[in-house]
Order: sequence, then C-alpha cells, then structure tokens
Amino acid sequence: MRIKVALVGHPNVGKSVIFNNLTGLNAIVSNYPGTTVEVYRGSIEWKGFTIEIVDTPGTYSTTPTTQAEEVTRRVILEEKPDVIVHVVDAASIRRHLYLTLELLEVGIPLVLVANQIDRAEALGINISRAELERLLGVPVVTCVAIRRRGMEALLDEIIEAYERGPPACPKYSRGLEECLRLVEAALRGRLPPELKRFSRFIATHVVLEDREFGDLASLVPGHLRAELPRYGRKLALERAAKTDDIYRRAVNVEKAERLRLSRIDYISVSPVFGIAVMAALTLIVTYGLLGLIHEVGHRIPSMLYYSFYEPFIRGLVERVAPQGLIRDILIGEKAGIYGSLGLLTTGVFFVFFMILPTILVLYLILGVLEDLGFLPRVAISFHRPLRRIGLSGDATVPLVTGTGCSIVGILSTRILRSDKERLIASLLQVLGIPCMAQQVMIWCVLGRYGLPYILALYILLLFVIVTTGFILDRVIPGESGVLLLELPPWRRPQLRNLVKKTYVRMMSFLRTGVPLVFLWILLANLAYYTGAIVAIAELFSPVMSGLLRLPSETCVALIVSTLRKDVAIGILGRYELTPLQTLTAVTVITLSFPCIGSFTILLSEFGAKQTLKVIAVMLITSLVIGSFLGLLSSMLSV
Amino acid sequence: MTSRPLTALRSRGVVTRIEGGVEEFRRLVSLGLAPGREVRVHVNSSVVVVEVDNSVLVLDRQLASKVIVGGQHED
Repeated sequence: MRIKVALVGHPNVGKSVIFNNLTGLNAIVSNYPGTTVEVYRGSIEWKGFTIEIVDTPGTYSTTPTTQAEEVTRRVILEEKPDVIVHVVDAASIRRHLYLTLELLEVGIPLVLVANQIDRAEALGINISRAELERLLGVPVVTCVAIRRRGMEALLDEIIEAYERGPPACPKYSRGLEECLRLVEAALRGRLPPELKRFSRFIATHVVLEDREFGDLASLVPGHLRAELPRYGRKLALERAAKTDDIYRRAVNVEKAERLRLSRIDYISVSPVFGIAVMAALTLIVTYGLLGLIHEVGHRIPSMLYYSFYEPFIRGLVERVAPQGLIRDILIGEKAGIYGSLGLLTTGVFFVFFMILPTILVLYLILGVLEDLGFLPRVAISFHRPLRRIGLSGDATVPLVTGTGCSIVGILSTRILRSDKERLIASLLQVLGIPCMAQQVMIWCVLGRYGLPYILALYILLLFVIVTTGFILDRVIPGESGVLLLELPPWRRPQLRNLVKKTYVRMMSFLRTGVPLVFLWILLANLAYYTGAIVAIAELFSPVMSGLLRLPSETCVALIVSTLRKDVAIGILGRYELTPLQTLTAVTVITLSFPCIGSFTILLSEFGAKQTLKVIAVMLITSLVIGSFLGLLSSMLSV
Repeated sequence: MTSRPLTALRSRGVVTRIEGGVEEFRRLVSLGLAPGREVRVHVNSSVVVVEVDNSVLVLDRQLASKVIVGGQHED
C-alpha cells in the first residue's frame, strides 16, 4: 500500500528537518513543473506501507501570495495527497492554527505536528494534545525534529489518519455557512471533474477573492456576489476567532516570556546604519565564501586536473586515435583548456573541475546561511533600494555573490520567492556584474590606462543595471511583493540536514546541467573544425568595425567570451587598441553574452525560452552601449 | 483606550481592526496579526518589527499603517 503525504507549514518550522529524518538518500529535488520552486520528494517503508513524502515550500495560507505558496496549493490540488501533515512551531501555535483551519477545508486526512515542543515548554506554553485532537478532530503529534524525537509516532499517526479518512470541515456562523453553501452550489457544476471533490475548499477561496479563482466568482448569483467582500472579511475574522477559541481551550500559558532580539537584529532593521553594517557583513561573508570557493572550487581542482587527469586522458586517447576528427572531438587539436575544445578535456574540466566543486561549496554555505537565519536579516536592510528595480531585499545575497561568480549568483536566486524576481536578479548579474576573475582582468587590461577608465566601466555597468532593472520591473508580469516577513530565531545549523540537502541538490544539477555543457562544447568544437567560426567572425565584422569601431579580429575575443570572459578580456591585450576602444571591447564583452558556466545554469534553471530572452536583452544592451562608445571614439579620433 | 495605527505604537497593544482590502486583510490575519491578538513593538523606524505569539514579524510602514491597535498597556 502506498500513502502519499504532503508536508505543509509556515517557513522555518522544521518541515525539511522532518523530511530529512523520514526519508533516505533516495530523496530527489526538482523544480515544480512550470516554476523554479524547489520541491523535495522521498519515501519510507513503515509497517507494510510505502509512505511517499513531498516537502512543500513554506506557506502561510492556502491563498497564495508568493509563487512558493502557489506551488504548495498546486501540490495539494493537483497531486491530491492521501494525507496532509501540517507542521507548526509549538511556541507560536496560535498563529499556525489559522492554516490548520484552512487545511481542514480541503477534505484530505490531516495530521497536526507540534514541532519544537521543548522550546514551547521552556517558554511556559503547555499544549494539551488530547484537547487539541478533540477540538480539531485530527491526530496531533508533538515532536522535537532536530533530536529525531516523535518521528515514529508521526508515521503511526499518518497511517491512522489515512485509515480514519477526511476530518470534518470547521463550522462558521449561520449566515456565513449559508453563503458558502450557495457559492459551492453555484460553482459545483462548472468545476473540472478532478476539482469537484474540493468544491467546499474552492468556495472558501472564491469568498476570500482569491485571484486564481477569480473567474469562478462570476458564477455566483449577482446579489450574493456584491456581498462577497463582506463575507470574505467575515470568514477570515471567524477563522481567527476560532483559532483563539481553540488556543484558549487547549493551550495553557504559565508565564509570558518576552522574546529578546539580538543586537544584530536591531542593526539589521535600522534604516541607514543597518544598510552599512549589513553591507559590510554581507561583503565579508561573501568574499570569505568566494575565497573558499576559489580555493576549493577552482585552484585545487585545476591543480589535480593539470597534474593528473589531463596527461592521463591525453595519453589514453592518443594511443587509440592518434589524429583525426575523433581525436579532436575527444581531446581537442591543441593542448590546454582554451586552446581547443575537447569533450574529455575542456568538457570534463568545466563540469567536474570547475562548475561542480564551485556549486558544492556554494550549496554548503548557502545551506548554512539558510539554516542560521541570516538571509531574512540581510533582506530587511536592502529591501527599500532594491524595490525600485523590481527586486526585494531577498535579492541582496544573489547579487553580491554574483560579483564573485554568476554561476553561484544565479543558483542563489533560489532563495527568491517569485519567478519574476529570480529572472530579474539573474539577468542583472549576467548582464552587468562582472565575476571575480573578470574583474581581475579588467583591472589588468584597463588599469594600464589609469583609474578613470575602470571607474567609467563600473559607472556604465551600474547605469545599465539600474536602467535595465527599472525597465524589467515594468515589463515582466508578476509582482515583487511588499515586505512582510518573519524573523526566525537564530539557529545552529544541523550537519546531517546540511549534508543531505547539499547532496540532493548536487544530484539534481548532475542530471540537468551536465549534458548541456557537453552539447555546447561539441557544437563549438565542430564550428572550429568545419571553419564555421571564421564565417561567423566575418558575418559580424560590419557590426564590429561599423558600430563599435573595433578592428574585426577582436571578434575572436567576443567568441571566446562565450566560454570565459576573463580569458576573452585577456586576449584584448594582443590587439592594438586605443584606450577608448579597449573600454568599448571590455564593456561589450561584459554585457554581451553569458559565459558557458552561467549559460548552463541559466538553461537548467529557467529553460531554453527564458535563457534566449536573457541573451537577447544582453545582446541588445551591449549593442546600444557599445555603439554609444563607438560613436564617442569616432568623434574623438576625428 | 486609544486607537492608532501600528506605526504609532511604541510598546504593547492589542489589534482592534485591520484596514484596507481583503487581500491585505487575509495576509495579515494568516500571519497572526488578527483582531484580539496582543502585539509588542520592538522596532518602529523604516520598518516595523512586531512580536506576536512568540514570533517576530517585520512589516514595511505602508502595511503596518493598516493594522489598528488599541494601546492597552501604553507607557
């Protein structure tokens, strides 16, 4: 027998710890279809049942306001789990009961899990399990997930709830019930068959003016439709009152402890000082992280690659196929990573010696920051300035890590809550934020002409970021939300949780990202081999010399920039360029195309369609800015 | 007992009502800022940091001004 279980609850209540306790290493993470929201899945055998568990993104209500919350509702309505497990923080159970009441409307067996019961008891909050079970009509389990306490009881109660069947819906005042009944009757005939069983649940959302069900509201008879806003408020209020009532009866509060905020919490919410301190802290954390990534993710693997792997594979392939197409495709014509492109040399290097170690370190550190509770605090500080370019405070971390490496930056947009925000944050960094290696080359190449040229570049890039963000915010549909978030208590990260999460995320990259790199290298290699690359260079020469006022051979640098931008900028040193031409070339290289690493990540995170859009925006921007600089250089040279 | 928006509260109070549309209303209520709940303001500057039921919420001022509180234990 299989039982499908959805773990649902507010953010930071310990859902993922419970998920990791229950499931083994067979767990997988994937983006929910059509979104970039991560959903974890796994299973466990228990007393003759196979219990499949879906860990949904944190949600405050079944009426979504973020994309993550939308995914949670889709999991419930589309996957129709057999049991919903609602995880709550025992110490703040009253706030969570609102969602419990919403989930009772779904008509799927429910189990309530009061997690961190030890903390609640320490705060003097005693929950009567029996009374809560009686009032809600569902099994209640108390547990301390990080100590693995209560896990077996939870599994037993899942089976118990499954066998007992759906609980009763909460009952509201007579007027409201009458309204709900009429709305339900009005829509029942029009619901698609697979949603019929959720008619009461959907009726409550129509009353609450849920946008997703907006067109269903037109089915409600006219006189009632006008009254819906009033009933919507009434429903929310009665629910809140009901939670108060349940709380009063089932929970005994001995003493009211006052929560203390840490000093850093006060700092992070203060307007000017907060931005300064959090900026400094973010930079320290990020650059510490980038240093580590550079060491562990790049230097050591490169050393291993050059001293062991490359000589080995080169010798092996040359023994089998000393020359010809096969050899060139496998290990490239010339030695070195960038000299020519081989699947087993350049391809393996990019995937296993560059991208993979980088994201391994990143995921570990991102995991620590997530568990620690650092991210929401940074978000608060930067919320106001970022809102103007279509982002929320949450985008701070991805943007700052983007100054180190866009691969890392794009991946860390996973912490953002809407697709719109993820796309804007990713686009802005591949467009206007040069990575660490690239910045070093910029300082080398442009630095020869003096600081003003470097400054000019950074000012140009900042201008591009702000303008593009401003435009994207208005062009891309969707909203980037007001600030309303919960400040979770500081927590010590759990090693086991961290390792598991990192492992699951890594495996998902291996499945989706790796084939793309190899395909790209193969295509690029064939382009070299067939001479198509020369044709491409000639094709673009009118743009190069006409618009950008650059010698047409600099086109090679642009083509290289699709692999590595730092190398591309380094190549510029070979040509005879004026300072302004160098600035033009560096700007165009930075803006025009993502490097292969970020290209791969963009593809695996956003899909081909969005990636093409990103590249289109980049090409257009680089042409506009490049032509402007080209015009400037032709004016100055006359 | 005087009524005022959360943005004007400096210590403790009880939520009396929520202004604005259904959307803001249900969002605030589902996070725990429902009428009848006791709130404690920790920071009231560019954002409002408020404690309710042993949790800490951060709201921007625009949203916080929709939450009307009666100051029961004002100092």
